[in-house]
Amino acid sequence: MKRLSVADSIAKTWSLDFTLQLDREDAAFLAGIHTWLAINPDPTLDEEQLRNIYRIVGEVAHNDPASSAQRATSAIARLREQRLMVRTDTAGVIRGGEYSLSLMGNAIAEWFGEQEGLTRKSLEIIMTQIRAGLGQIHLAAEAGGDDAHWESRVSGPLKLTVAQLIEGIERRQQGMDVQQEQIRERIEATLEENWFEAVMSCENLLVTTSEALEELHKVLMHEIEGMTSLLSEIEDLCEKASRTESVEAIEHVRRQIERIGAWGENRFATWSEYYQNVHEFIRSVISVDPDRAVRTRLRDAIKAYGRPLFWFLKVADQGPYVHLRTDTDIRPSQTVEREVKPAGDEIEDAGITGLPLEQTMEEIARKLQSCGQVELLEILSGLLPHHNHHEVYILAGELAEFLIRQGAPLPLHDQSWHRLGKGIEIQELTVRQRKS
Amino acid sequence: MQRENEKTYNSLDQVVLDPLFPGVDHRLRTGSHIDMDDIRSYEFLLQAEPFLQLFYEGYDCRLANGQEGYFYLLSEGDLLGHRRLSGAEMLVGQVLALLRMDPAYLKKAGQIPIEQILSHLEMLLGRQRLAEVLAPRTRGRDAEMDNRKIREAVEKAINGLARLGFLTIDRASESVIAARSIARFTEPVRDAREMSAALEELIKLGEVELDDEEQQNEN
Repeated sequence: MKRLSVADSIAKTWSLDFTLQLDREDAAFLAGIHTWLAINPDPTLDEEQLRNIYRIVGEVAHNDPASSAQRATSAIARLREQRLMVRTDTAGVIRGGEYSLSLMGNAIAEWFGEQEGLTRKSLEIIMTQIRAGLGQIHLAAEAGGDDAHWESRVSGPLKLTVAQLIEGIERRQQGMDVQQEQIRERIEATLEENWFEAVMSCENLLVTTSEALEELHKVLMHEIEGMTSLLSEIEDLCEKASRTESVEAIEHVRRQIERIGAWGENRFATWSEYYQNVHEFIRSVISVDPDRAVRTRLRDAIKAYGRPLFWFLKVADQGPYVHLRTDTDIRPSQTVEREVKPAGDEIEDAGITGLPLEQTMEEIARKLQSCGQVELLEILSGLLPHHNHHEVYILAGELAEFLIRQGAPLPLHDQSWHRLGKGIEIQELTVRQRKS
Repeated sequence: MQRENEKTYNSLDQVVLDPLFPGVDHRLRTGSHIDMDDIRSYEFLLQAEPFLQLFYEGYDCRLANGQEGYFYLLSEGDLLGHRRLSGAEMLVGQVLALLRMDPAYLKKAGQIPIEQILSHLEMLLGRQRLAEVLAPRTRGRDAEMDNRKIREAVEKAINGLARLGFLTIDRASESVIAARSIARFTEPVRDAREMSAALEELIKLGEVELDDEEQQNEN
């Protein structure tokens, strides 16, 4: 089977013009239908049964009983329109139909239900079944036979039995992801609520989950190694017999196996990191502030910052070393011959003299006075919307000179070039007010 | 027991000749904080600390070792120079120190969205006070302009704090991860003393400067 590319898949789904909207009531209704189908021998339910289920939803949601029938009709229609529920009979509109959940409806309802996690026991049982299946496929591939033999004994079992068993592991892995997420949330909520008293119970949770993941990781790594070599042997046999379909089925199974292996690696590493983070948090935050007093005092201190005193942390600040440019830093220069013009001509030519420039300079001087320092990049960024890049280029030179006359330039800590509109890059120039 | 790759030094010569020295020395002199997450540099400082204390004394400096596991240099004279953080850096640093104590950020490996920093600043200081401190204006207020200026001041402060090793920035998720050294911002409130008494002691140690008027644009 040819696999769709990501782009193909997006285009195909886009063309379906399908949207899914499930509010709280519809989700609860869907879960109710799913459970009804699971506990009853009938594979379908009729409209009356659907309405009975919806009545419970209405009670939980405290809906007006008078509108229950109307709401049930709408909810049934919504689930059908969104293909979450399908009509399984062909009776048309004369009498009420028979309904069941679609694959999508089932999947969503299962997701709402309890997530089935992966345990060492369940993993070992499934892995044993997969190994047994692959063993039989290996024997069948060795024996060889006609087209029917390869289809029913090799490619068929690979696609149906083995692939589905691995899907079972993947499903449980997803369930375990949800469980881990819940454990994280529980740890954070417990720490927030009980702080120091919660440390012991959180550590227990962390250790239990870590041990479970480590066990699974070990089992996965061990089993995957054996399965991969068995698959390679089957693949060799299929290639020798030129069974393309079987080779493709093997590739599919191999990808699935790689995925469950990567899951094990990834989740083990992620959990280890989380484990360390929580321990670091307990050690450096909770243990040093067991009654949360520092946290409270810090919050109060921020609220009162600057009232009446500002306090500032001090840091060492050696001036930058002389910046010796290497050959590679030297930009290629190009000699342009032009008439030497008296100073100030460029400004006049560009038509940016007069009031606007004077105003800008006055504003800079005022800002320097009030704030203590100004930055060239900020000034030019403000001028950018009103001038083209040629004018900004000229202004940059003019204003840099003006700034240096007005204040004391600070040492250049950041030597990077900043883009300023199209075609101009400048280095920052910060000027501080001169001390009188 | 000595750990693998852990060096010991018998003299300042050996410390200075270590290939790690120039980079670490440069970072310390430019105000950076080096913590346990930078394991090689931190181990180097841990082993070389006695010799480096003497070395930096010659520059009127002190190599400080924060209790959470980080080193930084404090310059007490004029030979090497020092500066104080800006008002915006102080506010952002304190808010980050506060958020780092919130277990809610554990799930995301300590990543704190920049939006959260902004919203906490506003929540703790109030909109008007925040604008007064981070977007000072001589004439009337303009809400839109103030918002832009506050955001710019916070982003600039975050960049400044990142250069000093107080945090790392994750541009993709527009969030920051506070380093251990962010605990320096909690120093005045570490114990139950009056904050003024704690600040007095920190001033004596050369850790802190006071001002009765805001000088947030100093840097």
